[in-house]
Amino acid sequence: MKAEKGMLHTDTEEQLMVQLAKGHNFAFDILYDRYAQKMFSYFYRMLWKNKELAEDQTQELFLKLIKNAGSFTSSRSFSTWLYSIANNMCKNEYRKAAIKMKYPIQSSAQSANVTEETADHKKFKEAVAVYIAQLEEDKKALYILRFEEQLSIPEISVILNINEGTIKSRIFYLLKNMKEQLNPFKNLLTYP
Amino acid sequence: MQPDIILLEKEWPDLNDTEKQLLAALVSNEAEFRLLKKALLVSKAAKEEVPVLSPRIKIALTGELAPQIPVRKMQVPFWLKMAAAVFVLALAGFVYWKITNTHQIEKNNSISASPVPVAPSNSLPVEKETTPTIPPTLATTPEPLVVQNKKSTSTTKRNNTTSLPKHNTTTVKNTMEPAIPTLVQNDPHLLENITEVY
Repeated sequence: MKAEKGMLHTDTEEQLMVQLAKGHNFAFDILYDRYAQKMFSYFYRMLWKNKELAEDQTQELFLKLIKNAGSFTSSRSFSTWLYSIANNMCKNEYRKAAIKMKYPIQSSAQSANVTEETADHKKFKEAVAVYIAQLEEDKKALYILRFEEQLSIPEISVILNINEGTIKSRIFYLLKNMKEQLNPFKNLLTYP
Repeated sequence: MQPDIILLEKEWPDLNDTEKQLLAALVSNEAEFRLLKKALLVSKAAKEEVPVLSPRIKIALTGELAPQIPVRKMQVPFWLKMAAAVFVLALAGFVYWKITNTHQIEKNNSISASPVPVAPSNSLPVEKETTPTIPPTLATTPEPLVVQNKKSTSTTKRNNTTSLPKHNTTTVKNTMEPAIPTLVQNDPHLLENITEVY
């Protein structure tokens, strides 16, 4: 049993999924240990930093993983497969709720009103957080996957089911818009 | 290289002309470059501020795991199951036969081992030598037994028999069947059947 567990620890996620499909519960433990916090973090940032909601979604995600272990093909990337499911779950949450009414966030106008007097580092961080929070669902997913999860463009393309050219273009406009939103902080950061 | 990667990995003074040209549409000077770089680093650092996932999630999932993914039982081939069934039946039959046979032998042995109930000799009715009551007319000296013709036919024998004295004093005990005393001499025909005398 110990040897089996040791062997599983060195396996890739794809191999672990095959083991899980065969009924080896150790494989699930390892997959959970590797990805649970990461996926919870993704849900937390995608779903308005609502911890309970993020936990529920994480639990549901791993339930889906257990149920669909048999249908997983080891030729595809486990990571992108899991993020795809998570991203679809986030989409469902966005659809289900009247987002901005249920989880009110600071409006972009508020962040635009940031003056020079409040533009310290803390305020800058808040402004960045607000900017990300107010992004539309697809753009937020793109931003988080690219700049927080640091996934490659081909991986994001698979997860979001968008071609790579569109991904590159969206990243460009995302950054351009971000720069414009945070422009009031420009001089403060340049000359601290 | 992607513009966002250049932003994250390099500083403004380190940029070459090609990289600056790539970034031109996004940032036009060092201030904008630093602003965007700082924003990306801040959001990346914000990832670390995510709370820790509650351990109860794993406990709940582990509870779900057992019924969802039962450990597969060992697959036993059909022929092996049949062979096992035949073996068990044969074994059961043999055991049954063995037990039955043993009981039969024991039963037989117990009967043969036990002494045959023979009545003690003193308990047998003593054969009394009784003198037959001979009618007075026949109590005279018996005439000698004369076998006239041994080779006579059965018809002759029957005739001879009729000529023999009816009442002989000699009494032969029938030890085998004491209850049936037989007077052999009454029927000389029986003598022909006697081959040995003990």
